This record gives sequence, structure tokens and C-alpha cells, in this order.
Amino acid sequence: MSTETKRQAVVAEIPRLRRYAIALMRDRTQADDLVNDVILRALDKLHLWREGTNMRTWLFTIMHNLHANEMRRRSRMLDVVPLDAAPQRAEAANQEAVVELSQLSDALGDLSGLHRQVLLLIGLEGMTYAEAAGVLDVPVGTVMSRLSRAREELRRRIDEGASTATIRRVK
Amino acid sequence: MSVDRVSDSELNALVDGELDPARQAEIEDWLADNTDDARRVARYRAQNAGLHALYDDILHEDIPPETLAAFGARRSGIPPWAAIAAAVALFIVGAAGGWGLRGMDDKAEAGNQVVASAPIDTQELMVRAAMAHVVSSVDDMHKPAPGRLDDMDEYITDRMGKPVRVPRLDSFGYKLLGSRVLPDTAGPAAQFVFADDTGKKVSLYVRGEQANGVDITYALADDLSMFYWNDSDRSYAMVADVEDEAGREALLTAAKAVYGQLSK
Repeated sequence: MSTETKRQAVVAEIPRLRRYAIALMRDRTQADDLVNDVILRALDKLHLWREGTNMRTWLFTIMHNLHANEMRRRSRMLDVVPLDAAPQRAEAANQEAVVELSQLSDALGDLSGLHRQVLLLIGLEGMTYAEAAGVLDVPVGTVMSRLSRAREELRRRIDEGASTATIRRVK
Repeated sequence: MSVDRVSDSELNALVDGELDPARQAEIEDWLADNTDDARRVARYRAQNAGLHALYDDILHEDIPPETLAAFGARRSGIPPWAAIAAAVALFIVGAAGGWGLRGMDDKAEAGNQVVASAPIDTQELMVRAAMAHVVSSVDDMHKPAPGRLDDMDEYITDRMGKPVRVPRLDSFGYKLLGSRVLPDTAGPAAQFVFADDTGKKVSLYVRGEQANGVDITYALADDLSMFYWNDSDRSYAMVADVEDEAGREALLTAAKAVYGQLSK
């Protein structure tokens, strides 16, 4: 495979890398910065990508490692200000669906980073457990237990959010 | 075999398609009689659907220029297309005037005759058309309904803000896969992606531009072959991943057809 073909394969994954990064970080600027870093690193290391292996999981692995480094770096800084960056959505005709989606978005933001990662890799990116385990560098069993807890946690938070919303409407 | 109990992991694995077919069938039977577990499976599936509803729009957004620029040069302060132009070999091999390809028998020979660096004012078009070709993913495009190219004309015209027709290239062996509208310096540009009968991708890039009537010109942008031209108010570039004579001839034939249909 020529270098040009490999570069095209990298380009083709950018939309998915952006979707995952934005969902994970909940901040577009930071997400696009992360994607840029991933692309630069990937182009730098393109000779290390083995033909016949999955370009997508390779890029997601790079992203996971860069993101983990960034989180470690930030946790060492004292003046960390958490950014509230829930995505802004336009008013939609179907108000009910919007309420549900915004509850899902809020609940997702409340999950721990570890839970959000595994939920997005499998629920949004459609990776297999083995692929997600490879990207996160953890055993498949860990992926499964995190996923199970993440989904229950999300369900619980959405239900809580829904009951709060109902109470607000009743008042 | 009957099922005594189903673990959390198995309910999740069912949602994620990770079970072998036999076990999947058993668990689906189990769910028919166990409404609590069935409800949980439905909730998990709804979560997945919700994630797609929240985030799938991102797949259709333009890739930020800063990200694309990483594929060119790692410099800042210059337009992304210029960064790419600096890293991409852009050559005009020769005007295909008289509708021929004389003097373009192969790259090496062409190198002795008519190869020249592309003039600066056409480099931007070449780079934009080449990048649009390379990063086009048909999944993210507006796809034609069978036999309804008129709808596509309308779709593109609405978004371009001026009448643009989809070139009809079926009789030349090109099937339209999809189209999209991209941001360009002076307003929106349209891109049409076709497949030839071997499935190879051919794309046409059209943008509004005050131009002076350049004849169809053959150019190379890295590994891509391109024919570009302009009329009084638009520039066009037809791009394909071909390097051999037959491929160039086919691309020129298609470019001439587009010229005949769209240019004034």
C-alpha cells in the first residue's frame, strides 16, 4: 500500500475521530485540537501501521493515549476549571425527543470518563468488545464490566432527570 | 436447551451482537417471558440510538481546515490550501487544446515537452479539487434517488445560490454516487462524485469565479490526474486517480462531456 493510500485511509477516519472526540470531551475546540494531534502523530508514525490491520482502531488507540496523557497532565495542574460544554442544539419541532436527547446528553456528561469511553466506543462507534479492549489497552472482561455499569448508570441518571423534569412541568 | 438465568454481561452482549447465534436465540426466548430484562435491553438499545441522534451530524460536517492542513505542511499563518500546495507536486502537463492529448504519451515524455509548474492563480483550484477528491466519502454525501437527477439539480442549486446542473454522464459509463456543497473562498463550491464501470472514483469540482476562459488543461496533483478549465463565471476541475494513457483519455472524454453540458 502506497504512502498516499495510507494517508487517504487516515483522512477517511477523520469524521469518526471528530465525532468520538466531541462526544467524549464535550468541547469542540478541545476535541478538534485532540484530533489534530492524533493526525500529526499518525502521519509521523504511518510507517509503523501494519498493513492488514485496522486503521480505525489504530487511530482510536493513538487518540486514547494522547487523551489519557492530556488528562494526567491536567490533573497535575492546580487551576483546572471544568468546562461546561453541553452541545447547543437548535429548537426542534419534536419537543419530546429534544427533552429526551438533552437528558441523555446531560447524563452522559455525568458519567465518569472511563464509563463514557467504553459506552461511546461500543454504543456509538460500533466497535467489538475486543476492538474496544485493544484501543483502551485493558482486558475484554474490563470492557464488559465497565460497559454494563455505564449503561445502568446512564439509565438511572436519565430516569432521575426525567422525574425532575416532570416535577418541574407539574409545578 | 432452556435458560435458567441471564447475566448482565449477556444482556449487554445481546445488544452489541457479541453472542453466538445459538445463545442469542436462547436469550431472545428468555426475554419473551422476562419483561424486566426485556425492558433493560430495549433501554440499552435506545441509549445507542440516542447517542447516534446526538452525534451523527458531526460525521457530515466539513473537516476543519487546520486538520486537513496537517496533510500538507506543518506551518501556520498561511492558508491551508497553500500549505497543501507547498507539499503537493502541481504540474500542468499541457493544454488539451483541439481536444487531443498530443505530447502526453506518458509522464516521462511529457516531462521533456510541456510540463510546467502550475501558475499560482490556478494552484488554489487544483488543491481544493484534489483535496475534495481525496477526502470525499460517499457515505456523507447527498445521494441521488434513482431516475431523479432533477431533484439533485434543485438540491445543488439551492445550496450554491445559483443554477448548477448535475452533469449527465451515464452514457459515458459514469454513475453518479453523490454530491455535496463545500465552503470555498468566494462562496460555496459543488462536488459531484461518479464511479466508472470498474468502481473507480471520478469527481468534478465546480466553483463560481470571475475567470477568463482557460481551455481544458491537463494537470497532475501528486498521484491524481486532473483536467481543469473555466468559463466566464465558473471554474471546473475533473479529478481521478489515474496515471495511464487510457485512464487519461477516459477522463478527458468525461471532461469534454461536462464542458458541453455545463459551460457556456
